[in-house]
Amino acid sequence: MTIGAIELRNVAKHFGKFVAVAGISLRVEEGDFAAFIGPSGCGKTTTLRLIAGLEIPTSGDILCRGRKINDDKPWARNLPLVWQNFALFPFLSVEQNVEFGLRMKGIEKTTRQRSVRNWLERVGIAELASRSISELSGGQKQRVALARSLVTEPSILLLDEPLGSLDAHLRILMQSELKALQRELGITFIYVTHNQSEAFAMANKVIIMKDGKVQQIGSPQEVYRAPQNRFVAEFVGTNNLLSGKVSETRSDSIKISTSVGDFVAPIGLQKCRLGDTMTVVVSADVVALSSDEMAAKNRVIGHIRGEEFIGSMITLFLELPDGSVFRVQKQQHEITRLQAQFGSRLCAYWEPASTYLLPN
Amino acid sequence: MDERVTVLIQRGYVILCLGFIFCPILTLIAFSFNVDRFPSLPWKGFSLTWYSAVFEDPTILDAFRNTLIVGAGVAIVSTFLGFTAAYFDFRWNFPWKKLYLAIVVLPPTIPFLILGLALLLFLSRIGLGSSLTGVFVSHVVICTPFALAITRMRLAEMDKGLEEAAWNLGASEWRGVLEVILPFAAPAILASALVTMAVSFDEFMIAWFVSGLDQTLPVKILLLLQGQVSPRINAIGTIVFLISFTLVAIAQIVIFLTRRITE
Repeated sequence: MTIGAIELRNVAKHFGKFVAVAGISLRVEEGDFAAFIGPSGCGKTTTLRLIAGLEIPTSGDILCRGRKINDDKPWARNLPLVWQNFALFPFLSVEQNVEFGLRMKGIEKTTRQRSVRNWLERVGIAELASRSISELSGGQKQRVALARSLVTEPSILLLDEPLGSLDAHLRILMQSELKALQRELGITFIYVTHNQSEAFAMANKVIIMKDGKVQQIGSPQEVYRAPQNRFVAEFVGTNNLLSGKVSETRSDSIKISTSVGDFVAPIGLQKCRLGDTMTVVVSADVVALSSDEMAAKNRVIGHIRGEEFIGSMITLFLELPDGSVFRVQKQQHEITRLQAQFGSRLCAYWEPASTYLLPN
Repeated sequence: MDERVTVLIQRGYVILCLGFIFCPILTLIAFSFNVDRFPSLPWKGFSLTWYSAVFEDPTILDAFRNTLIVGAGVAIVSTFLGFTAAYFDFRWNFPWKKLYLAIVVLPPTIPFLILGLALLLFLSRIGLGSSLTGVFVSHVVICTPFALAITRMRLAEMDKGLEEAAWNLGASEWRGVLEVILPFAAPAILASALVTMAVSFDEFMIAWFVSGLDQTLPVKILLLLQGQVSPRINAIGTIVFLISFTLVAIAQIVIFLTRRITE
């Protein structure tokens, strides 16, 4: 069995009565780009701080390459952190900031300067070496923070919402740069963000947290297509959740009766009996639309109550007979073809195979 | 038009108030250069004779030296204590912290007449009454709150994450203080040293109670006044005023410039 880069075994962190992290166990392998995502207060930043040694776990063990590091002080672990607000030292210049880690290690001057120059070039800000921090833009500060963390050549890098303070288009740019950098360096990235699309764009392993617990771990595709519980289904992507009672069970599918219709879904991993409450998860992007009533196995009929425009995709909000909202994501041109307006009656239908069942 | 008149009146008022406050001092400075023994007009002639009289009197020079030694010592010790207290406040939370800080900043709020008497009584019991060391200790007590306040204000401007960033990059706690806290707080430390020295330099009441044969300059000035009223006092007063003023002015400039840079 391989040893993970970072392993958490039943790690918990309590602040007085408040449980920030409630006994989580997971492994990040060498070379992973692991992203912790979840709503504010879910414990993802606390988990990162526990790994960095800035917080001491209330219980549980943190291992780095198989060695327990609970008692290692933050300055003894080589786990540099890239901070959201950069945490650059205002009284030092750019190169003095970047060389800090090397200076703490006692590396002598000429070697330090060479490393600093190398990394500044690598992140594309070689010309800013002697500038003071106050003169830099957000994006430049971000790169200094990155160079400062990488200069000690760590094999694991921690990042706490590093792109949070950047404006939207710069964020997208930095996302692809970070991903390329991680692949190029071959090191492990442990990344915390509340932005789901950011995590999905960069990570190969996504860890979803809520209330201090891990809800699901998997690749972005797995988590997107097969959410394991209600929270993940609602948090990730744009999913519609239709709950009802099991009315029929067959060898390969199940029929659920809900207040807005009966739906057929493939049997998942969970066993269910007649009368059980189950939820069908229908992703907004697998739904077809028609202004006529289709005789499809799975369909809902609703009236358009709103729309959200995100570039070429539009999310339509349909109000169903029971008052709930059903979301459909379509390309711009598909919607215009329908010639639908606010209040129009539409039929949304989908294939059973593209849906997923969750136990309630 | 209305607004300009209002501004003029406001400025004029402030100038009048300041003028009223500084008039005695300005008179003092002016007459220190007057050849006449008595501070009255008409002006008898410009002279530096009183200044030379000051520098020729060994008792005055002794008092001046005492004041400088005490001042320098107070500056160093108070700044150190103020800084460590400010850092503790910045870094840690402990039970009764607010109460503790309230007590620490109490001394300058107590009328010095009462404080001076109390300090004399207490210091006498431990053998420091009527001594320069007693004055030094007393001044540290009243000056440390200034250093604490100035340093605390500066540290409050610091991002807490900076210290953690230093630890994360390999600096131990002590190294973190050396590499991050001290450089950041440096302007406040300098300002604290200047202000505490100025406060100690000027301080009369407690020094009068607590000092013995080795007097500080403010105490010596009172004795001179009680003895013979000589224009030497004008000269001494001018020198003392200029020193205190310079110390505080530099401290203010340092604080002002630092705020400018942070913004």
